Amino acid sequence: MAGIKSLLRSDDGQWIIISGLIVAIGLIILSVLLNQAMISGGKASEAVLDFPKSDIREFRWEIYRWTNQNVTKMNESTQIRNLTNQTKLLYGARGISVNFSVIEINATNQTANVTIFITDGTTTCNYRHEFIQCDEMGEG
Amino acid sequence: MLKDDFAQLHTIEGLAAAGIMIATLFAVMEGAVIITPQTGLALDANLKQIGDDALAVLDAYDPIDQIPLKQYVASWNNTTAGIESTNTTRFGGSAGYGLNKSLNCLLPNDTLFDVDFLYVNHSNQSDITVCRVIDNGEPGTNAVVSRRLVTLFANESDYTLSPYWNSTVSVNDPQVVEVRLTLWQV
Repeated sequence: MAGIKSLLRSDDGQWIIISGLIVAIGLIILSVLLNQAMISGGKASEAVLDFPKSDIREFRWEIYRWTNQNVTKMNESTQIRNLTNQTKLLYGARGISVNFSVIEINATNQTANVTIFITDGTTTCNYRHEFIQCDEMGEG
Repeated sequence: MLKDDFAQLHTIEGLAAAGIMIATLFAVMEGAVIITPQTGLALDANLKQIGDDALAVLDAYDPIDQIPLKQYVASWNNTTAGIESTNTTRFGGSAGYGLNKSLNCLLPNDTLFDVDFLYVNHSNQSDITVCRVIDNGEPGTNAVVSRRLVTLFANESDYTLSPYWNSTVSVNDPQVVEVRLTLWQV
């Protein structure tokens, strides 16, 4: 016992103890970093799959195409109702709610002002005044 | 030597270091368990991007063919094409050009795909009709889906509607068709 007591009081080999501690802490930090790096890769993939980027872009682009195809027809309630019904059902089957309405059509200038709404519950996109200029769209 | 009591702190330090190393190993291995499904997710995201890109290429305007995807949809006459089928020129795999062939060129070799057309049947405005257009078998468990909308209008000079679409599409009633590409790696 006397030997242990004297060892506890001894202050030899401090560098060895400190270096051991530093190596241990370094290992822990490296392992945490490695874990975080791998988890962040998974999170990024999850975000890509969950975010309805292509749905938002596709719906908006399709409305541009409808307008570009015949801007004056976008003023006709029958056509708007038919297009809305079909897109609502197609997107609704996947749990996505969509809607659009025409605020103003200018047949002379070939422009349209519409609202576009799309949500999948988590992400909501609301274009309140989407201005469409047919001439600038080009084909497609 | 066994009875001497020198270097006790070194012994304790050695034990502590061993403990910390074991704890670190556990932490790393626990992380690896979480990583396994995430690797699959990264592959899914990549495959979905490839599918989206393939459809985007087909949906782009071409001065000669206009929009190829819209041409394919407009000419579809309510038939299903298998990979060897040539029942319609635009969808068959072995002769002429077709949606099947275009997608085969655009997608990687180790990928199989099915194509469905989804649309609202005008005789019943609350039902969605799903038609398998290209059938390469049942999708695997790691399948992902890419989609693209195509709208068919009556009297569009660049896109000749098939007899099937001609019977449903009218001037005030355009047909919105969802092209659903299901792809999986083999």
